[in-house]
Amino acid sequence: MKRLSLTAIAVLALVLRSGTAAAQVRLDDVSFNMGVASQLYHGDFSAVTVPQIDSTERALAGAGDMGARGTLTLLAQARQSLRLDFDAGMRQFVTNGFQLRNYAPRELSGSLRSTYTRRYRGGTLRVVPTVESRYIADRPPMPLYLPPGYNSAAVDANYSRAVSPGLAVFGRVVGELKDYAAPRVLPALDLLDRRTITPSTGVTLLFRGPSETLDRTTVTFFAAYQYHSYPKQGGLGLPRTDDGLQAGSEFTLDRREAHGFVLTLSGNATRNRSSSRRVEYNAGRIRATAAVELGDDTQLDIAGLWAVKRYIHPQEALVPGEEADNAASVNAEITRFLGDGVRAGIGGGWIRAETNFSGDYYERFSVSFSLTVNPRF
Amino acid sequence: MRSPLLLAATALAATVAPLRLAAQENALEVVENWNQVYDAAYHNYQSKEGAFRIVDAEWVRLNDELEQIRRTNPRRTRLLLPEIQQLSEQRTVATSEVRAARRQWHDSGDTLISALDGYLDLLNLQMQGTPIGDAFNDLLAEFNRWSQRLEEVESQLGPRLSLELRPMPDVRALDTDTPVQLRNKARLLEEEARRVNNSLVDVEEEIDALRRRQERERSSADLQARYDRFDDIVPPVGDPEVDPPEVVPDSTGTGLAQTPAQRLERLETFRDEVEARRDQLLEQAREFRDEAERRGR
Repeated sequence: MKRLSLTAIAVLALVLRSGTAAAQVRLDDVSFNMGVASQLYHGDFSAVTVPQIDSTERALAGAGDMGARGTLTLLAQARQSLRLDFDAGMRQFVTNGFQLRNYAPRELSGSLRSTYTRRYRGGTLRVVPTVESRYIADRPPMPLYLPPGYNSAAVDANYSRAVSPGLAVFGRVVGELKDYAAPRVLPALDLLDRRTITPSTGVTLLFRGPSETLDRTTVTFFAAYQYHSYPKQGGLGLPRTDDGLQAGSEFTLDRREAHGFVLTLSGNATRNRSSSRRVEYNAGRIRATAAVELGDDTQLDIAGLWAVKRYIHPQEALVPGEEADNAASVNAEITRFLGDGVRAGIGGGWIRAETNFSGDYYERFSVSFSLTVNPRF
Repeated sequence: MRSPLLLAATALAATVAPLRLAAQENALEVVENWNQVYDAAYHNYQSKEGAFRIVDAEWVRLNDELEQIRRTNPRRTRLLLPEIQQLSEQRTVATSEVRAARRQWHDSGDTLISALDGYLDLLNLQMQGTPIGDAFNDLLAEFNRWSQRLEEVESQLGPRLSLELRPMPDVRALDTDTPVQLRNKARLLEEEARRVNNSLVDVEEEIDALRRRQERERSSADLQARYDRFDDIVPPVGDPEVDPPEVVPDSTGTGLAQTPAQRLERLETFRDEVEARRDQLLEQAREFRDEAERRGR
């Protein structure tokens, strides 16, 4: 926690340093949202960090959530800018279907992310420190899977440089600390504590769309090395450390103004090797998102994910935090623009995660309704 | 560099010539000269573009054919490959020729627009001091002719919205002005107000497009934030992902230094300026008409 506090102070210091630019401080993109959702879970999945066990394989949950987010622009000059994104939210569940008792999990979440961008003659430097915290009370047993709470701090430094019009190369380093702050009754959560350093490099191609629009197409290819250290895992005084090699690409086709849609496809492949034989695997992931305008006042957003993992050695036990091997999800929401800065959304989603060696799985179906307001200041 | 020099030459000609007519003739000569250069550059671009399209269509056709017969017809494949190679070279040359021609066309267009702006201002000045009659009508016809040409050139070059107001026309009421002259001046101001008002349409259209984009992007970003807030779509599969960094457009050397929000802000400020200018012109024209009426009594 001490480290997190230090990072928070560093972020604050970076923010307050822009005293001379006080006159330029501006609040943008503020949104408040409230939503309700109904979720149906079933399956027999096990997670190391969920020690409570209930014999049911089917649980129903109702959830209400509210949240706020926005951006403070602290400095906006031709050659440099500094902005601070904030986000906070709360979600309360009621559950039904458990044999032992019906749980009432409550989640609290908050994050602060500052983005400092500086343009040099040769390229652009972007430094993004982030602190994030999630807390969950009365976490239920499976199959109602809710990810555990944590505190995290990360710094992302990226330098990109144009080598010709529309073609840029970048070098990037991301460092992250994640602390699951296990309560005394749930020490297994500490197994998830992680430190990660990821240097990566890549190339981005940018093609502008029809003239007089901001439409564009971007293609990025990247390769990364990931060093993970799990200080609470491993044996004989040797913590688990993983070395991962990742390569991937992302393709974004932005034709919002010309044809009313944006499509993003990304995929990556990872080769993970570890000081612990049981977590050596190869993995792949494909992600797709799309936003399609349906008429003047309606938009459809879709997000899909497909992930697969194959262990090198026969698997004998669950790996904390990585219990599932394969996963797929599809989420969609239809948003109706009701008036100046007011939107309503009806959405639905499905997610399934499963293991290879035991066949355990959990599945969630959800429907939701939300209202969002973007006030203007 | 050529445009400022040309403008300076036009301005100099207008200032030092002993007679306004001489200045007008000089400026007209400059405009006509650049009009010819522009026409030649425009036709050259169209011709290069046409040539490129022919080579490109053939190149695409041969590549499609090659794709279809590559495995089934080795003999035809052997014939096609050198043809495609040759066409590829021609296509590369044609592409660079089109690019160069387009640059020349745009450069000469910019220069012609500057020359036309200077010449139209000069005509404007001359009309103010010319009593109604044949001479005034000639000037008005000349003004309309080149105004139309200006609109035509701007339309050929495409909508490149400029966020700079033209200078306020230097129209003043003199003690010696007759009511007719004052009404002429009022008419010039009203004409300028009409032009300014017309330019508002483009600005409003771009503001609407940007606002719509911003609203849609914000909606998608809010939805993603709701998913991320509670890690709703993060399955427990491990393998922390490395998302590619956010693309900083101007770091790719393609411009787009402004974000949509910044562009929107600039446009809204510009719209307010244009509206203020229009109202100012109309107010001044009204004052001229009132003064003409007072002097006519």
